[in-house]
Amino acid sequence: MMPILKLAAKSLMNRWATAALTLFTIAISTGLLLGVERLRTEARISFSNTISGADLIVGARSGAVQLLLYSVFRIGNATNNITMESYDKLKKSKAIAWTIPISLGDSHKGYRVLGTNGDYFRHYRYGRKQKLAFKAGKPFSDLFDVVLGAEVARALNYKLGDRIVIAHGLGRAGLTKHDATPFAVSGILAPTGTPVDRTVHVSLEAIEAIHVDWKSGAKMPGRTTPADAIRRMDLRPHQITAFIIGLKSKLAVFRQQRRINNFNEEPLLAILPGVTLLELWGLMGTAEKALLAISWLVVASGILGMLAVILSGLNERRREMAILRSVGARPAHLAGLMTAEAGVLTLAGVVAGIALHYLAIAVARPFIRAEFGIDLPFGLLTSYHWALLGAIFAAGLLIGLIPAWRAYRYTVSDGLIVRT
Amino acid sequence: MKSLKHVTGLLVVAALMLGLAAGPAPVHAADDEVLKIDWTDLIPKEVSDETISELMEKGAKLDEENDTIFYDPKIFPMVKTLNGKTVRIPGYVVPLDMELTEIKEFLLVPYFGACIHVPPPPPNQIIYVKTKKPLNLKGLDYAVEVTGKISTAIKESGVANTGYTLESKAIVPYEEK
Repeated sequence: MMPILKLAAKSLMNRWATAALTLFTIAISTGLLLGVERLRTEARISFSNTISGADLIVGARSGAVQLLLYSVFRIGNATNNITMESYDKLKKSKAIAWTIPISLGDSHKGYRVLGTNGDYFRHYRYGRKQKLAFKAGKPFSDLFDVVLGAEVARALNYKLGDRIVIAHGLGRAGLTKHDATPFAVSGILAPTGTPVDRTVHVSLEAIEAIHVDWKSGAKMPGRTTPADAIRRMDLRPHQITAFIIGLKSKLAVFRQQRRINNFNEEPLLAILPGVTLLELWGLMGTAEKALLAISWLVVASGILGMLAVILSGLNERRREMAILRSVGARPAHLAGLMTAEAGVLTLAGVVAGIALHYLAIAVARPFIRAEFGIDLPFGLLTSYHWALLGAIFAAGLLIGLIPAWRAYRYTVSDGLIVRT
Repeated sequence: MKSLKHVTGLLVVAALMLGLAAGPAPVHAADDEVLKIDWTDLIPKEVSDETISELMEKGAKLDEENDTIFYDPKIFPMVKTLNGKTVRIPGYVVPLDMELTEIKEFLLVPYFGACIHVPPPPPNQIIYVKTKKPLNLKGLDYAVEVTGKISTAIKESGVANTGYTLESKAIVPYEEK
């Protein structure tokens, strides 16, 4: 066995250019398969990591998945807001333990601004029921205080006490800024690996304050109320975008959901985050299966490429086989040699593929964290991944039986004299 | 000596057969006996369909006035004799809190789409299941069979709330036979 493996390795080294190319195709296809699988599982873990302990999420009536996406993941937009009266009425219920109101619609350099109150820092949980922690500073106390998520502070290099200006709307470039009312950074949150890191938090009153000069969706020219005057105004919020509910008893969840969905003063939608998340994954499932199928086809093409290369080289190697036979190799040995070559090539390709996929993760990681707030850890490969890799190696080895068979036939017919 | 062996053999076989003939223990369950139930077993036999829908309506009216949504267990009938028994029941999963991708708490309901159906299932047709081993769910429309100890009365945060709770021992996918 060992001499055959050594011979296989040496034989490949002899044709190292072709071997390297084949190895590369197998490496790329393995890396692709692994990458697709990792991204799929990590994305799911990351999404589930984002919120924990919330029984219901309520927003203006749109679609369940849409509500989940904009309220928790900061992806997409609300269709409408909720009046403060409705929120005040609905949150008064003996079944409700706590609520967190949130207000969306503004941004800072592409990061979403979230208006909320102290309940957010008290009750929001993520991952395994982890609380939000402050790396520096504290929640807002002054009207124009802002609390930054970890990624915002890191990417834009903000520290406590820095002044920032919030832009209207959600575009990346803040064309219309609320520059009469700059904010001061009062707190920076510790990293959570969730979209909280990419969020800029202000109080609900602050959202009212920055829109004081805005009438009918436009900033009135020539009218800029100074910040001091704003502070003296009545800034009780009139509307919010969504709110999160924690119930005292989980058994009450259907009743509470129905109460909100049937609320006849305003069209609202209450969702169970766990259920909607599974719906979202159900939707993504088809795309994931398609991606996986394509990755397997790429692997297949890599292995078939290897087959083509070995087979095409077979004719030239008939003399080499004859020489080997003359020193005592039996046809079975030569068949073994072909299989071993295929096996060694595939194995090397798979190992290179593993390295390639880690490289891809290293490259993609900061981009994905900045854009989506999803954390893509390096992680160790699970037994499922090893099973996939084992399948690829087995496929390569099996494919090697084809040139093995042909080599066997050639050497038997050629004997020691090669007639090409 | 051969005959002695035969006799011993016969005696052993006879003993085994007697043991088998004693049969499965009668169904007044011992504590470790698993009761196979279905959703109709969770509604007391003496209560009619009309009573249940009346109570659901009355319950809804109580909501608006007192702004509470608890169903008083004195009003809403539960099958008290099931309390403490180990049961096996199939149903659909409504995941509650998820820790990462693990479902450790969920509501078991008789049909898929309970959260969008109007009206939702009555309180004696919902089971609040807790499981130590996280549930691996293929999809919301796949039924599962849950085995565990069921209890009929729970008191949370000082307010009595109607509903069955179950500490799950095993959850398997449900296969229609």
